[in-house]
Amino acid sequence: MSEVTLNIGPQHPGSGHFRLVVSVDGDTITKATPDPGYVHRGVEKQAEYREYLQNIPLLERPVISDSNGSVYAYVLAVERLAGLTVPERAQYIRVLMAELNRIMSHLYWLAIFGIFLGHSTMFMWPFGDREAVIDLAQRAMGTRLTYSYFVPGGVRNDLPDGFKDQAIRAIEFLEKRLIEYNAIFMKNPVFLQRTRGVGILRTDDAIKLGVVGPTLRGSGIDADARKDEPYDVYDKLEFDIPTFPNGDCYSRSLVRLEEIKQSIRIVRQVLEAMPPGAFRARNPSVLKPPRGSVYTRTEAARGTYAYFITSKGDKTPYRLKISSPSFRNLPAFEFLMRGSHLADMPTIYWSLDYWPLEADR
Amino acid sequence: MVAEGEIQKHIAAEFPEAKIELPTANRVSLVSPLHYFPELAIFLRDAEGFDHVTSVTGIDYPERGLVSVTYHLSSYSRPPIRRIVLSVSVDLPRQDAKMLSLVSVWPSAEYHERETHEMLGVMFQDHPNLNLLLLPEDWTDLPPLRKDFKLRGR
Repeated sequence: MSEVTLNIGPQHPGSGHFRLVVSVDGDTITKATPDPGYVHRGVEKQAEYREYLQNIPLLERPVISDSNGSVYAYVLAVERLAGLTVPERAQYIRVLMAELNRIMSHLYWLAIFGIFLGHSTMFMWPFGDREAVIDLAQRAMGTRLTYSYFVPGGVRNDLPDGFKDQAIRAIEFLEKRLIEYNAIFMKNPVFLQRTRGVGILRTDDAIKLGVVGPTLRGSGIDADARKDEPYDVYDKLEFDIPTFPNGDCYSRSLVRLEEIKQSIRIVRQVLEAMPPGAFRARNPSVLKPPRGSVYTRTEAARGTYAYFITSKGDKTPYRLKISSPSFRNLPAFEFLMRGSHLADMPTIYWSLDYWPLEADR
Repeated sequence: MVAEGEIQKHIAAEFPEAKIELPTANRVSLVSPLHYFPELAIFLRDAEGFDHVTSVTGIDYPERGLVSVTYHLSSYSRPPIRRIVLSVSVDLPRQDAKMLSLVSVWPSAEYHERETHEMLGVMFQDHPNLNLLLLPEDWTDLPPLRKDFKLRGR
């Protein structure tokens, strides 16, 4: 049979504007070429025109499902460049908010994964349950998704009164729901059939392609920036890095589900250990870091999020480079889809938790 | 800092012209002359265990007539050095910025090099596919991250 080329996208193959050019022979994919760039906004260029503090709202816009995770490394980079110290309470609050954001992002992923596999209950449930975390975030940070909450030297405002109780209620609710997700979705024979053994990324291929985040940990490598190079107070907290060895869509799904549990574990510890004190160090609002370069990385929901910032002593960065997890997972599309069935394309696509804006910047 | 010092020593022994610094904890930064490629890359991968590229960056310095290309490397297969990020920088002439593609050494560099090519006008020789990645396919203007490309209204 002759080959047919299909354009999947750029209008929403699931998550955002991104095109996948797929060649099929019958229903077997012979070649899949990712074509990002439809939502490229030149964030790195725009950042060269803005002051360090003004860059925060800009830099979190590409990843609204995980906006704290996406600016965390930036804030750390500016602190390192300018030599700022961060009060301990602020460090705990940042870890808390980053983990809540990870839970939100993973629930969002789970919901979309549900609908990709034709399971509409799994679409509705996490989306609804995610509101419990969003409400928390809104109370503490003022908005639902784009917080601009992390700032060099700490966070923008302190936690509101009674936050701890509300947070505990929310995570207890989520823990109950996770058991139900497990029963209705993760153990569902249809889900197992469609994800087990589908889109296998072996360990050595994962290393070769340089993938990050749950995609990497689903291939059996326990690399995580929170453990490899702990920042803020992560070295004082107890948590595990879940890994699964098989490298298929099922492994990647289990990693994210486990990560929600680990995040809940971290949130509990942080709420217990939250020290009193200042939530932000006093710093000038216009920063002029001395000449130099800094490379910082944090573990966002989708993987290692890194910034490489070069300062020339001005109030704007001379060059700011974002290394985002979705961009680094791009080669996995080509690799995993070749040879698989066209019907498995959506499963593989969303098992990578690809976020087009994050890749395009 | 033991591992960093070891890495520094190994590189200095093999590649004496490379300038190596340990700027902060967990960071090794290397400025290499162009002629060390690809041997230096293969050495870093095989002897030191830096098995993947985390980013490829270019920085334009018009007043020095240079584009500096930096590869950030890290390791998955050697857990003790996972905390280290090693950067290798090369200075290229701005008018004729070209270097050998390192995709054959690190397949993970492919998309990063494509981005650096379109954004900073760096030619990576022997790259499997240097088509535009993020920019529109009819882009004819300057590479946008060069300093002489100005944003309108700013």
